[in-house]
Parts: sequence; C-alpha cells; structure tokens
Amino acid sequence: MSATTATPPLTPDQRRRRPVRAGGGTRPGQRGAARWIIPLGPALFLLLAFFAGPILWTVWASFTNAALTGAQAAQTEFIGLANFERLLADPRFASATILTIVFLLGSGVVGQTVLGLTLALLLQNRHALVRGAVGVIVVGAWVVPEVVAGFVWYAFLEREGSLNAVLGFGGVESQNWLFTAPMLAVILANVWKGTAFSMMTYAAGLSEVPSDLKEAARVDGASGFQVLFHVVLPLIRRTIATTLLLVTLQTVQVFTLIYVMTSGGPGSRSTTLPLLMYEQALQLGDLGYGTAIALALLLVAGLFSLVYVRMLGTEAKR
Amino acid sequence: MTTAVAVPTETSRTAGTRARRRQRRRPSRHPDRPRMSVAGILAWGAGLLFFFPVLWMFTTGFKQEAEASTDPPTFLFLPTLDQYRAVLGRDFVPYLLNSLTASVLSTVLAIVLAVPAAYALSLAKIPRWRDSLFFFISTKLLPPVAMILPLYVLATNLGVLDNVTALAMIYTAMNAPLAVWMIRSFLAELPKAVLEAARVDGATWSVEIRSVILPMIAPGIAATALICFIFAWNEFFFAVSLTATQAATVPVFLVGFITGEGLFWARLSAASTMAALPVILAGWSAQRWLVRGLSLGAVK
Repeated sequence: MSATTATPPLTPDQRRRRPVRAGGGTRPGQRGAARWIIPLGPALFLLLAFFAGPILWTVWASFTNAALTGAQAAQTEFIGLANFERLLADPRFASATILTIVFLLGSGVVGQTVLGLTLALLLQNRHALVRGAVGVIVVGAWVVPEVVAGFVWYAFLEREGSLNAVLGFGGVESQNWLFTAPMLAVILANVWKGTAFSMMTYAAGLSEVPSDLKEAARVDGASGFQVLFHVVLPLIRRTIATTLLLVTLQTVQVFTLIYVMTSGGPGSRSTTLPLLMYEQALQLGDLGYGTAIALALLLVAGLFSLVYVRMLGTEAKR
Repeated sequence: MTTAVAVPTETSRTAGTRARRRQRRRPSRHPDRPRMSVAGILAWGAGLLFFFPVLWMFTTGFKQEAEASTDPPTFLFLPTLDQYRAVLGRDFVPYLLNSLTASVLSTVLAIVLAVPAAYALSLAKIPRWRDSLFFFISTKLLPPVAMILPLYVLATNLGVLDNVTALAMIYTAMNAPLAVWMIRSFLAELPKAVLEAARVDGATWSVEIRSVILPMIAPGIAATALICFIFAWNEFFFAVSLTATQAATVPVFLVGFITGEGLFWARLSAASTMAALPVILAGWSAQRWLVRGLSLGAVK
C-alpha cells in the first residue's frame, strides 16, 4: 500500500536527484518521466483514442445536426443549443429521465443495497459451507450474460411463465407481467443480477469490523439492531458510499437487460435514457439528438455521484 | 497464500491472523446460536431463490419443447440432448468462434498493456501519476452509450464495421482500466524491498517485470484475465451496435434467437446454457478476487 498512498513532498534537492536513482545509472540518456512513457504509453494511448476522443466528439456532436444517413450525414452543421431545447420540450425525454431515476432508485439503491447488505449480514459468521454455497449461487447470477438473465426473467414473467403458474394457486388472474408492470419486471431482474456485487463488497466491508467493538456494545446492553445501526453501519459507511457510487454508475447504463425483456415497451413505459438514445441515434439515425441524450445521462450519473461524495465528506467530518 | 487460494470465500488475509480472529470470536458465538439459525434459514432461502432461474434454464434445456411450455411446469421428464443438437446445427459455431476470438484476444491485449502501465503507476515517481490513475478509472465509469456513437462513426469511416478484430480492440479499451487498477492493487501488496533490490541491480523495467514481478503476482494476473474475459464474453451493447452478420457474438445470436423463436423455450434454454457456461466457470474460478476487480480495487 505504501507505494500507492500519498508520496511525501520532496525537497528541491531530492527532486533533482531522484530521476538519476530511478534510472539506476545504467542508461544516462533516459531521465525521469521519459523512462515511464514506454510502459505507460500504449495503455494511455488506447484509452485516449477510445474514451477521451469519443467523449469530446459526443460533446461536439450534441451541438450539431449530425446524422447517420441522408443529406445531414454529408453536411453536418452547427446548430447551437437546438438539440437541448428539443430535449427539454420532448415529453418522451422527461418520461425517460424519470424512468431512469425510478430504475436507479428501485433496483440500484433500494434493491441491491438493501438486499446485498442483508445477505452479507445474514452470511456473516455462518458456517463456511453456507457462505460458500450462497456465494457460488449469487456469483453465478451475477456472472450470467445480461442477455441470458433477460431471457430467463422474460420466460418467468410472461403470460405462460412460471410466475403465473405459481400465482394461479392463489387465484391471481394470469397476465403478462412484462405488459402489466414493465418497470417492476426490469427492476426485479436487475436486482437479481446485481445483488451479488453489493453482497460481496459489503461482506468484505463487514469482515473488517473488529468483533471486539460489537462485543463491547453487546456487553453494554445494546440490542442486535442497535449494534447494527450504531456500531456496524457507521463503521462501514465508506464501503456503503463506494458501493452505492459504483452501483449507480452501473445501473444508469443498463441497456441490455431492458432491451431484451421489454425493448422499452409497451409504448415507452420502460424506455430509460440508454434505450431512448439507442432508438434516436442508431435506429432513427439522429446522431446530434442522441448525443444530447447521452450527455443528459452523464449528468444524471454525475448528480447522483455528487450526492454520495457529499455523503462521504460530511460523514467523515463528524 | 496457497491454502487461501484453495478456499474460495476467504479474503486475502494471512492464515495466522485468520486463526487468531477465529479464536477470539469463538466464546461469543454460543449464546447467539438460536437466533443465528433463523438467519441461516433465511440465507439458505435467499440462495435458493437466486438459484431458481438458473436451475430452470438448465433443466429446460434438456426437455422436449412440448414439456417446456406446460402449465403448471413439468418437473419429471426424460432428459434429451435434442435441443443442444438443434442449436449447434443452427450456425451457432461461427458466433461461438467470434465470441472466443473477441474475448481471448482482448483479454490478452488488455493484460499485456496493463501490466507495464500498472507497474509504472505503482512504482514510478512520475509527475502527476495520480492524475493518470484517475484518468484510467474515469473512463471505466462513463456509460458505453455515451461512447458508442463516435465509435460507430469511426468504425464506419475506417471500414471496420462488423469486424471481430475491431470489436476486440474496443473490448481491450473497455477492460484496460479495470486490469490496470486490479494489477496495481496486487503490485501494491508486494514487499517493496524485493522490487528495490531488482532495481538497484540495474534491471531494466521489462526484465524486472518478466523475471521478478510476473512470477510473484501470477495468481492476480490470472484472476484479472478471468474477469476481463467475463466482461468481454458478456458484452452485448457494442456487439449489437457494431456488428452484423460476420462478426456477431454469442449474445447477439441469443437475442436474434429470442425474437425469432421466442416460443421455443427448450431450445433457447439450451443455447443460453451454452452461452452462460464459460463465464460461470470463469466467475467461480475468480470468485475470491471478484470484489477487488469489480470495485476497481476500492474494496478488498
């Protein structure tokens, strides 16, 4: 760890001496940073080409009428804020933004966090066999391709699916749940798929909580829930914030699961921002408008991330 | 370290501290037992609930179509390999080869690029190394949907739309940040003295990586490679946007299958099982390191 945490500030004298020592004195021509360009360069170049470049292009394209085909494809013009004005006036964009946030809160924040933390707590101190078995199963769910997960849940929830067979015993009328409650369906599927990740990070966080502290609280007469809320959760708040951040960034991008299960339908009742962007840009060919939607998605992810970072900051100050 | 590798659920703590902890915890365990067993039942129940969809998929793949869509579901049936034969007879193999090419090629490239980069970032005293590191992680956090349009235009202009190698390049870029962060976290655990000794002896960085570092972090590299493979194998969004008939991968094949033959549950299950099997095996092998990989080294 020591190599990666903050390096102590150098005196000017040390700074001058350092590169020479790093070079080992064997190659006098190479100094300091130049030595690291070779190992670092290729990876940096690849990421600049595939990430930094595209993002800049996306920002530029959102101010133009760029299109996949037709006259606008040959002659792209700068149209200022027109795409964003259209975005704000588009009722489908408003609904897609709301659905994205519903999906994020429902499956990412509430579903995966609560279920993942509960599972991690349940498995804590369990026999190695139980932990192993549940771990293997949950990881199996996480690792299955999104396409397969979408298909399995589609089969479970559609009219002839297993859920209706089960509910039939309770007298619930047979229905296609993907039509009746599309958002609930995709949220359930995403919770199933994503809980493994939260569970594993929380389990790792919980294993760092010293058992002496819990025992001390117990001896002082705290109940199980009091120990959980006043001792354990405050101690793993960094893990919670980090996990929430990663889960959020993952969840707002979910495309495949929804595409396979509902294709955004019926109508646009499960069209989240990634699906709307895909439809506008790649199916209808309106690149300019699509990139504006992509930026809106980045904004949503950014705003949520800011909340977690803030949460972490104020917690740490206490 | 070798004993820890054998037990998949253990964290990377040394055997000594683990034993000490266990001893400390033991006295407090007994009084809690009745309440704990309720938790145990809940844990098992949750595990089963999570397992059911996968189990359903796996068993349905061995049914006849008529048995697969009965209401209520059939539980007793004579297993058959008919569906697997049907899927393999339906041009599945080219998709499988595309998936393998894209996943393996991109995994190898990502590791080859990431090892020197992680080495430079964790050991070098380059100015602004922290910035470089955060640049690496920030790319991982951008939604692919924000990147797909320029990549699509780029691929069209270069004439590499529907090309497996181009897809592999994108997967390499997709996995490189993850690989850099993960390998960096393994490097950070190496004893510093060993590395400094190698450097004082005048080894160049490539010799140092090959003869000193690689042997020491080989398990970590293997885990990183498995995780990269899983991500590349499962990737659907770039594949469906950038390929058509020549370079389409297994997930693209499956989606075509679902829309085309939505009612043939048994056959679809057989195809899905084949698509899921490689990554499930990879996931279980790398389970011990998954948390570190997925949280980009933030959680160990």
